[in-house]
Order: sequence, then structure tokens, then C-alpha cells
Amino acid sequence: MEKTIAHLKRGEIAIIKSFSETDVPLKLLEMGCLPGNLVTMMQSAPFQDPIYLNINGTHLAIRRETARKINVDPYV
Amino acid sequence: MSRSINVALIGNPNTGKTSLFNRLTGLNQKVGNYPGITVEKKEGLCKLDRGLKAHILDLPGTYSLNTSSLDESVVVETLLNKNSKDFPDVAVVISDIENLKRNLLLFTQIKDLEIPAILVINMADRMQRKAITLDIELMEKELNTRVVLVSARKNQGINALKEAISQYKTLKTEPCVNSSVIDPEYFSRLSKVYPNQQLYKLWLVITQDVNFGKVDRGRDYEKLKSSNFSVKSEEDLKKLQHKETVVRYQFINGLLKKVLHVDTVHAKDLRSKLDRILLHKVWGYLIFFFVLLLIFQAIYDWSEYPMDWIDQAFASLSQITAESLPDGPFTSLIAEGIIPGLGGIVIFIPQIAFLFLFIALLEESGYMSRVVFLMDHIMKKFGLSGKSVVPLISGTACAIPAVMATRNIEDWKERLITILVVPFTTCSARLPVYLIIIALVIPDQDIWWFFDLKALTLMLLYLLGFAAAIVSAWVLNKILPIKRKSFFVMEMPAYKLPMFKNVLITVIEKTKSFVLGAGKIIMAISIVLWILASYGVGDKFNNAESIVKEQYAGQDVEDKIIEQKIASHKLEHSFIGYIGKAIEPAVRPLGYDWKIGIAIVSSFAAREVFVGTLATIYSVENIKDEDKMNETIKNRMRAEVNPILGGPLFTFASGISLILFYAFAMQCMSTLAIVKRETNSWKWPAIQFTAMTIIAYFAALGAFQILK
Amino acid sequence: MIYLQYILLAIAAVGAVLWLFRKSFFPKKYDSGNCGDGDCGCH
Repeated sequence: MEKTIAHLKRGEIAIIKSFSETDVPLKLLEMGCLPGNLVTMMQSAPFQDPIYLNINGTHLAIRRETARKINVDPYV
Repeated sequence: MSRSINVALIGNPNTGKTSLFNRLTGLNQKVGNYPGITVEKKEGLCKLDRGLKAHILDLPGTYSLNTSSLDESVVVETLLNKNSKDFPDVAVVISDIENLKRNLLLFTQIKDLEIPAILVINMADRMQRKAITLDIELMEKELNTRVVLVSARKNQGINALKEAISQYKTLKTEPCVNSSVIDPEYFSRLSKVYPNQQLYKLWLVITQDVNFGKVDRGRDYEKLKSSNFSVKSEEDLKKLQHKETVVRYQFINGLLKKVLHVDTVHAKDLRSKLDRILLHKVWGYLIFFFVLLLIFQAIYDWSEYPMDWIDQAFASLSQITAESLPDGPFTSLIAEGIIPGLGGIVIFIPQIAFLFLFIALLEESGYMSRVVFLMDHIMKKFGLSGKSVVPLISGTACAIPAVMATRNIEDWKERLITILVVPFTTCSARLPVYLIIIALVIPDQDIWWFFDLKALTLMLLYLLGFAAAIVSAWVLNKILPIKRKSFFVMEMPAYKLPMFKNVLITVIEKTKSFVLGAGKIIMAISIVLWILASYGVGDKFNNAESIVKEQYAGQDVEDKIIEQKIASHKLEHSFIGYIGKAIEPAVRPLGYDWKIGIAIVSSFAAREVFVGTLATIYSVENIKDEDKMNETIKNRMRAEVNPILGGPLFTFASGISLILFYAFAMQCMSTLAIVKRETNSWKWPAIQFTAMTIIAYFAALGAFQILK
Repeated sequence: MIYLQYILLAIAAVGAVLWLFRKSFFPKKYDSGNCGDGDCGCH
């Protein structure tokens, strides 16, 4: 199974690789959520959803179900 | 000589756009609406050098020109329509130093429209603390424009910006990104069909409808749409938009690599420390709860003193008017109809101001987004979005801006449900009714250290409003046959100390429009009510004096009491008395008399009319009684007697019943009108009105029958 | 003097009724461009 943003642990950093669905909203891309950019998992809300990310310096919150559609590569 | 130029202020949300706008225009601004839609339009004037004046338009915050909401489409509309009187001579694009990368996306789009654009980098005062260095000169060269560093918060760089604006003619308009690389073949075909048009503009027009409905962009673009240049499917266009965004970010990344240097040693900042606590699974909710509690404490307890002064002031104003103007029906109208009616609304200024103050503070500090984040999971279960929290909280001020605040909810089902349930939240128009009834039927008592029972009751009522909203959302989520996409993106802004000036302007602006708006309708209703209550037809009204005197003939009763009885008898047989008696059978099972019935009916125009109505009716009744002229409305209500059961009319049972009726009933024409506008059909407001009123009636009926 | 008072009363009454009528049946408020953000025609 592909690793997605939803799998990241608190404080973990990864590189955005691709979207598993074409239906990813444009707004997310405009906020900087693009392949090649770094993503840091800041923290999950209580109940694990939504999640709080730092993508390229922008802090945003998305729901876990959207996060599952964004594949990532490990950052070394 | 004075020339005026148009300046459009554009930027991402949370970049300090409003602060900059306030800095540039001071109090010299006006807030209105764009024609035909309820998007707020903020304009202001700013004096530049050499007699040049800038007419500054503060456009709604947006992340890009690919719009996905009504607010954002206003930005595109303004920038595309050259014939509009608002079309900017120069665009001031504001960005913030910490999110420069994302902010530049919008800047490149505006630049590509070939509108002269100045890049403003705000919060420059944070650069040193964040160890950020920026090569402005190189940046100006690469972007081919002026770059101005400002700090709206510290009032730095504003003059440099004014200077740059006044030299707008020297700005270059070449685009910085060539968007046609995303599909060269398509774009070259486009330019053949429309040789005189700018390509990026055409592209924007073509793709607008993909994300959003139709917007009016002037004649040229209507032609384009009707010419069937739709060789691409919607999905292909979306893919191209994704590609365009990537191309833009490539350009921006390349640029920032050259000009921006961040020393990333300081990892732990204020944000992560505060987030750790405020988003904690226990502390987070506890803090939110205490913030709410604090707000209600302020609304109830702290505003008590100014309210008492206002109450007294209006009572004596009534008396002075009656004594100093010549006797006659018009003087009575002013003294007994208009002044008590207006007093009924002015008295709530302190509370409304407190409420708006807290909402403004929560928004400005960045805490509101944290609340959204904390609540999303719970709200999702009820068919709402975390973003529904903002409408639900601003609904405590007024349902109208709350319904409009639902626009940033991405999912239509979540948005519709939010719109439908928002009127259950305790809006400030309900406050007058609650406060006066709580004062009458809830005993004075302290609980814990400093929360008094009355404040706690008020808090419970707010919770009741939220609970009603949430439960009905859950029901609606089950029964509405609409598919949910469940999409949610929200920026988590940096924490900021709220700027005093911004908060003050918001509070003044909102309180003013509340009081002026409510004042007009209350004045009109008081006039009508007073006349209906003071005149009547038939023997029983005209001969009231002799009828009552006959009744008490031979008994040893004080003259004063007789006069009082005459006034009551007259009122009962005035026009309003007959109307009230007609309604009485419907409201009696709820524990009310006909006077409250009248107040409820007039409340369907607006809830806060309730107190004004009772004030007017009671003061007509006390027409001859000089002592009672300057009595407060609260005391008059306390003196009311239940016509059937005897004893005080406002008991615990009837008071609770009345509160519940106001808690659930949809008594606001303006909200219904705005719901119609936002949902684009009469169906939803009609359902909302019927359902809420039925719930209200039965809740009140149940409460009175159980408690009495 | 008393007639003046009655005339004023009548004007006030007619004005109030007409205004309320217009307000509830022709709510043009949203297009008029002069309502604040807090409270568009809320009352």
C-alpha cells in the first residue's frame, strides 16, 4: 500500500509524490500542496481528525479522508 | 486640482489586508454591498501627494483567481471588467512575509492580467525575529514591479506605499509567467480566434464556470461564452488548471531561491507552543468552554450598570417630553410610544457591543481557526463542517451575517444544513427578551464563586440554541437526499495580538448598523402600536370613563385607581385590544395573556420588538398616572396580573414557556430573505419557517403545562 | 394647536405604515449598497 499523508506521525516530514485521485480540489494545490513540496505533520485534532499540516511553510488543516488521497515519499 | 485613481487592495486571507486598509483610509471608509449580491464591499479614501486622491477598494480575501466562492468571484469580476467604475488603475497585492510563497501565486496571476501591480510585503517587523532576509532589489527586477515592505501593525512603510501608488504610471505590466506553456496548441488556437484579447484573461473566463457558476464579466466575455469555444471537457480544464498552478509555483520557487533566505535554527516558536495547549484533547475544549463562559459573563454581568443608566435615562426623557411639549396626541405619541419603544433597543447597546468585541477578538487573534479545527470531527458527525462553528458563533450576534459566513464551507450539503440550523443560535435580537424575562423569573443567587444564577441561565439558553441547531442538523443530515463530498481545507493562521484599532472599528461599525437598523423598524412599529392602542370604536371604548365609574359607584376607591381602571378598560377595547383578544385562545395554553400575544405577533417582524411593544402597551395603560410615567419596563411587567389564575403573570412557568418560544421560533423576516437569496429558492426558507414555528409552539406549550 | 398635533400624528402613522409595508414586501435593502456587514437589514 502507498504511504499517504494520513500515515504520517506527529512531527514526521515527507515529500508529496502524487495524488491517487484526479478529483483533488484545486484549492489544495493553490495552498502549496504540490508534488515535490515538503509536508510536516504538525498534529492531529482530538479524535485523530482533521489533521494539521505544514506544507512549505503554510499551515493548513485538512480532513483525514482527503489526506488519504495524497501519496508521499519518505524524506531523508 | 484633485485627481482620483482607483486602487484595488487584493490579498490572501490572514495577510493583514484589513489592517493595511484601515491604515490607508483611517475612519474615512464605508462598508456596503456589491449590487445584487450580499458580498461586503469596503471602500475608502486616501490622500496621496500632489492633490492625488486614491479611492481604495478592499476586495474580499482570496488565495487565487480560480474562484470557488461568491466572495472570491467578486475579485475576478472587478479585475476583468474594464468598463466597471471600480476597475483599478493599480492593484496593491498584499502578502505576508511568512507565507510569501503562497501569496505570490495570486500576485503572478494578477500581474498576468497586465494590471499595474505593486507587491506589498506585510509584517516586515517580524523579519528579524524570524531570521528572514529578502533581496528586495533583485525581487523587483525579477517580478518587474515595485516591492514595498510595510508593517501595518507598527505603521511602518505606509508612506513608501503611498508614494509607490502615486507613481503607478511607471509600473510595468508585462506578465511574469507564461501560462500558455501548459497547453501551447490550445492557447495558440485561442489567440487566433480572439486576436485582440489577452490570453490569460480568456483563460480565466473559460475556466471560471468550471469552479463556480456564472458571473457577469461585461459584454466581451458574454460573447466569448456564447461563441461555443468549448473544445475542452470540464475534466481536461481542471487538469490544465492544476498544471497552471504547478507552473506558477515553479516560477515562484525559482524566484524565492534567489531572493529569500531563512535561518531555520529557531524551530520552536509561539505557534507550536500555543497550539500544543489550545488544541489539546482536554485543555483545548476546556479553554474553549471557558472562553464562551467569559463572553456570557461579560454580556450579562458587566453590562448591567450601563444598562441601568440607559433605562433610567429613557424613563426620565419620557417624563420631560410629556411635561415640556404642548399637550396633545402627538406629544403623547412621542412620550408614550416612540421614546419607550426606542429605549427598548438602545438599552442593549452595551451587550451587543460586548458580543461583537469578543467575536472580533477571536477572529483577529487566530483563535477562531483553532476552534474550527477542534470542532470539525464532532460537527462532521452531525452533517456540519468545522467551519460551521464560525456561523454558529457569529449567529449569536445576528443570523444574517452568519448565513453569509457559510460561504466558505466547501461542501454544499454541509453548507445548506448550516444555513438551515443557524437561526436556532441565540442571536442578539433574542437577548432583550431573554434578559428581561430572566430578570423577572430567575432568583438572584450566586453559584460557585462569582457566577450568578441569572448569568448561568443565560449561558444555558445559549447552549440550548446550539443544541437545537446541532440536533436538527443531525436530523437534516439523515433526511436530505444530497450527496456529501466531505471536503475541507483551512489555513491555520499565525497567532497575533489583536490590533486595537481594527477591533474598535469592527465593534463600532457592527453595533451602529444593528442599532440603526433595529431602531428604524422599532420606531415605525411603536407608532402603529401606540395608535392602535390609543384609539378604538364602539361604546365600550368611547364611554370607558362612565362605565368604569358606574362599576365603582358607591365604593370607597381612590381616584388614582379609578383612573388606572379606566385606562385598562380603554386599552382592552381599543383596536389592539380586539386583535389581542382574537389571538388569546392560541397563546393562553402557553401561559400568556393577550398583551404578550400582541408582542409575539409584532415580533415576527423582528424579535427585539417584543420589549418595545410591551413598553408601549403598558405606558398607554398608565397614561394618566404621573407616578408611573418614569417607571421602568421591568417593574411594569412585574406588576402584571394573570387574568385567569390571578397572581403575577410572569411566573417561572410562563417565563420559561416564553423563553422557549423565542428560542425556537423563526421570527425574523430578514433572515428568511437572506436564506432565500443564498439557497436560491423559496423552498428552504419556507421549510425553515414552518418547522421552527411548530417546534417553538409545542416546546412552549409543553413547558408551561408541566411547570405550572 | 391641537389640530396641528392631529395632523402630525396622521403623518407619522401613514409614514410608519408605508415604511413597514415597503420593508416587508419589497426588501430592496440588499442592493442599496448602504448596509454594514454586521447586520444587513436584520431588523
